Amino acid sequence: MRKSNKINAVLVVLFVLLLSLTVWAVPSFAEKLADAIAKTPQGAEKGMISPGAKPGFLGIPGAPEVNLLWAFLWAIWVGWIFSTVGAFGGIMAGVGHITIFGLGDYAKSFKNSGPELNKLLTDSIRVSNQWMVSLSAFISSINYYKMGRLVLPLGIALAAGSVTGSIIVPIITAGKIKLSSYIGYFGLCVFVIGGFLFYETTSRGQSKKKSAKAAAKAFEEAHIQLKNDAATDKSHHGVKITSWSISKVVFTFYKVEFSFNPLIPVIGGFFIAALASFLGIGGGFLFVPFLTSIAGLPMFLVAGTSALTVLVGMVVSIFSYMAIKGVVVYWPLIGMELFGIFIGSMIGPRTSKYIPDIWLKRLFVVLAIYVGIRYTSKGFLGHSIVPPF
Amino acid sequence: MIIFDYYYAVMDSFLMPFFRFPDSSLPGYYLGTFVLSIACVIAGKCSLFLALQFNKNKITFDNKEMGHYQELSIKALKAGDKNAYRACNSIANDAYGKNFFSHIALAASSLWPVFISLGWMQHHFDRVDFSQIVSVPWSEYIFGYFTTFILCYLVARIIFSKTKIGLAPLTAWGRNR
Repeated sequence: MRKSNKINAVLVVLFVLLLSLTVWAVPSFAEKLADAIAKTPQGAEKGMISPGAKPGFLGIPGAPEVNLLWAFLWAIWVGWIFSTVGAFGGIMAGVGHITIFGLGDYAKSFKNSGPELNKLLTDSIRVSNQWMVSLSAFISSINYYKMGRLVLPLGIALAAGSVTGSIIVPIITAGKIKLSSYIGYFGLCVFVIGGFLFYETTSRGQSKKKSAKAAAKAFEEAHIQLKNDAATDKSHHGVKITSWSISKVVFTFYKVEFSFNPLIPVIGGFFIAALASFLGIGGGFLFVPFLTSIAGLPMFLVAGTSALTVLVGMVVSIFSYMAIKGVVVYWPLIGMELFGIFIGSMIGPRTSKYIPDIWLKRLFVVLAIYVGIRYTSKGFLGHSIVPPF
Repeated sequence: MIIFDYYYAVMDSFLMPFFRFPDSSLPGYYLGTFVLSIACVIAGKCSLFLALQFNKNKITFDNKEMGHYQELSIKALKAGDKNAYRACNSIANDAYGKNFFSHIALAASSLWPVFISLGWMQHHFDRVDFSQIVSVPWSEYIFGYFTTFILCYLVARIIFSKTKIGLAPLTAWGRNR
């Protein structure tokens, strides 16, 4: 059986196994929402459900109809960010769900009158964020798996932590997080990501990158002979596990020995997946920097393993929210947003040559500070300390 | 959502004949869902091809940069140069980050029809009791619209991946890498 057929077969089996879990005899998505609506007071006032009103978001009577033109335009902005700077796109997607489309304010209106509906709407926003920013793992996994750069003990350790985090967080938090708490924690995460972006724009961050490039270039020029040696020496290619235990895994790659403590990827995988599952952002792109910086592993090997871990974590987390906890997602909104991201991603490369990377990052640092302050204050203080108040 | 009401009416006119073609409801449901899946795959492939054409220079550059510094970091390790290894690994890391997010855009371009179609399925089948028509034999478990659609979509994708048409965008992309 050819390798590509084996890969297809493994992916199909994985998907069917995971999707077959949705064959659970749980209340349908509609029933969970109907229960929450039934428990909310009826009327035409804010924080009430008017049964005779025209259905809006998620088919809830009287709910706002998301302006799809705004959703599309916002998604173009998100797609533009993904294809230029990258990291801030997920945050902007989340901001769209929370603020731009009016879903956050609508969920907030049920804070006291219909807390169950408030929390169900919050969970729907969280899962919508996850769908949006985790889809890259689908294509990444296929590409990296085909390259065969996989360290199995690392993959198992990452998956153990990631799957645990992706199951525990939805089970513990679904139906229990108020919108105000969610946007408060979202704001804190935005501050952290903004901090990393800010560091990259400082002279220290810039000089670090410059010296790395200089060191790489110097090595390449001095050791160009190695290119010919590598081409002829086909032995000792691939990962070979030398020894493994609960505290240490040793493997060789191109005759170079690496080792790592398997507890590190388990713990890291757990916290990164838990963050991604709780907030809907900050998951996939954190695995590789974590493993290369903390565990000291070569990017060559961790990229493919991480992509697969993100995919598995995403499937498990979304399944936990939707199939086990009955969280509802509004598919047309996600579809329209993905279409907008597709359009934005085609515009981004055309404009990036006119806008230097560092100025883009500075712009997003300013946005991160604003979004971080607004959401953190709104979430934990009850009102925003930046306009609009 | 007025625009989606219009959209769904257009999709109804195209899809309903397939759902109603067989006399029995269950084969009709699967036939219609499979036709919808094929339409999703085709629309996704077309938009993925467009995205790859528009972004091929950037994607190729990002992939080459990542691959180049990956290989260089391994060579640095073999040569015992830890500083060069860390430098190359860090640059490869940055290039990976750009690569990761461009994959989101590619995924979006391929998968947006799936979610539009799930919206249509949700509109029509969310409150349907599937227990009488789509159940796992000798058990109390049922399939919902989400599971049946995703399974049909996976089958349609695999069938298309085996055809020359299905492989064309990726083959063109592979030539440019």
